[in-house]
Amino acid sequence: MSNHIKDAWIEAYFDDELSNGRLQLAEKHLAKCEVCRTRLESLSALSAILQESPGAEKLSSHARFVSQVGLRLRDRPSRPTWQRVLTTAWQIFPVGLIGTWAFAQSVFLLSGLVFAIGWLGIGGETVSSFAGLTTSSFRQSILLNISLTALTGIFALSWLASWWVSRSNGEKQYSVIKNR
Amino acid sequence: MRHAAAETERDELELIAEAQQGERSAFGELVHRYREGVINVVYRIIGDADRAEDVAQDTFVRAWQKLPYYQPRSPFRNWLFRIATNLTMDMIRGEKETLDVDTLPLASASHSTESTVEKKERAESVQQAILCLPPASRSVLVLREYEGLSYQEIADTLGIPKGTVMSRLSYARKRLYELLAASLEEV
Repeated sequence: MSNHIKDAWIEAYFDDELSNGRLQLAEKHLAKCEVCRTRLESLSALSAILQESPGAEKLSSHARFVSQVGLRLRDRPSRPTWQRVLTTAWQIFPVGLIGTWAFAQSVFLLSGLVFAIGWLGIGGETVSSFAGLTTSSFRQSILLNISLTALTGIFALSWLASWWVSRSNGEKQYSVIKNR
Repeated sequence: MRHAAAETERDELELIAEAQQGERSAFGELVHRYREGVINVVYRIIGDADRAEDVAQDTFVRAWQKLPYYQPRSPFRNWLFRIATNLTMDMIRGEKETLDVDTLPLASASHSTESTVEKKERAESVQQAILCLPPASRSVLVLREYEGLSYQEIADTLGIPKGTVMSRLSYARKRLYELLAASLEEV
C-alpha cells in the first residue's frame, strides 16, 4: 500500500481538492496504477449510491413554513448601538483625520509666520514678545509637525487597507454567490 | 438570461442587507430560498423529516436574531448550515441518540432487476447507514456529498480544522463501504 496514494489524498483528488504539485503527482500515479484507479471508482460508486437517497419528503408548503417562521420572529434585529456607532465612526474617520491634519497644519503655519515676523523684527517689540519663540522651540515644532504628518499618513494607510480588505471580502462573497 | 440570473444573485446581498435592517419581508424571501437546503441538511443528519423541519425553523429564528452580526465573508447559505448543524448537534447530544447497526435494513444483492420498491429500499438503507455514523462524521459527509461544500467551507461551517474534515470524511466513507457493501456490489 506504501506505493499507492494515501487514502486522504485520493479522496481529496476525488473531491477536487488537490492542486499544483500534489494534483500532478496523483494524476501521474493514477495513469499507471490500476489499484488506485479502482479505489477512485469505488469512491465514485459510493457517491452515486449516496445520491440515490432522496431529501426530506412530505414537507409542509413553502408558504406555511415561511409564515410559521415569521410568527416566531421577535422584534426586528437592529444592529446594536455600539456597532452602529463604530460603523459610523469608521466611515467618517478619514474626514476627521484630514480635518485634524489640516487644523494642525494651519496652527503650524500660523505659528511659523509669527515666529518669522518676530525673528525678522518686522512687527516690532509686541510681535517679538508675543511670539516668544526660540530657535530650538521652532525646531521642535517642525519635528512635531513631521511626526504628526507621518502619524496621519500611517492612520490613513491603515484605514485604506481595512477598507480595501472589507471591499475585497464583499466582492468575494458576491462572486461566490454568483458562481454557485 | 445570464444577466437576469446575475441580477437575482445580486438581489441576495440586497436582501441580506435589508433583513439586517429588520426588514421582515426580505428575510421571508431568504427563508423561502434556503428552506429546502437547510431542512435537507438536518434531515440527512437526524433522519426524521418532521423534526428536521422543526430544527430548520429554529435555524431561521436563530439566524434572524444573529443577522445583525452576519458579515458576508462566507456565503449566507454556509452561515445557515453552520447554525443548523450546531442546533442539530445540540439536539443529538441532548438525546444521546444511538442506532443499532444490526437493525440496519441492508439491501439485498440477490435481485437482478431493480424495481421502484428496491430503489426505495436502497435509498432507505443509505439513509440508515448514514445515521449509523457518529454525528460529527455525519455532518461532514452530508455537507460534502449532498451540499457540495469544499473542505475549507466545511471547516469554516463546522468550526473545525481542515485536517479534521478530511479525517472525518475518510472515516465516514470507510464505514459506509462496510455498511453498504451489498448495495455497492450491485452498482
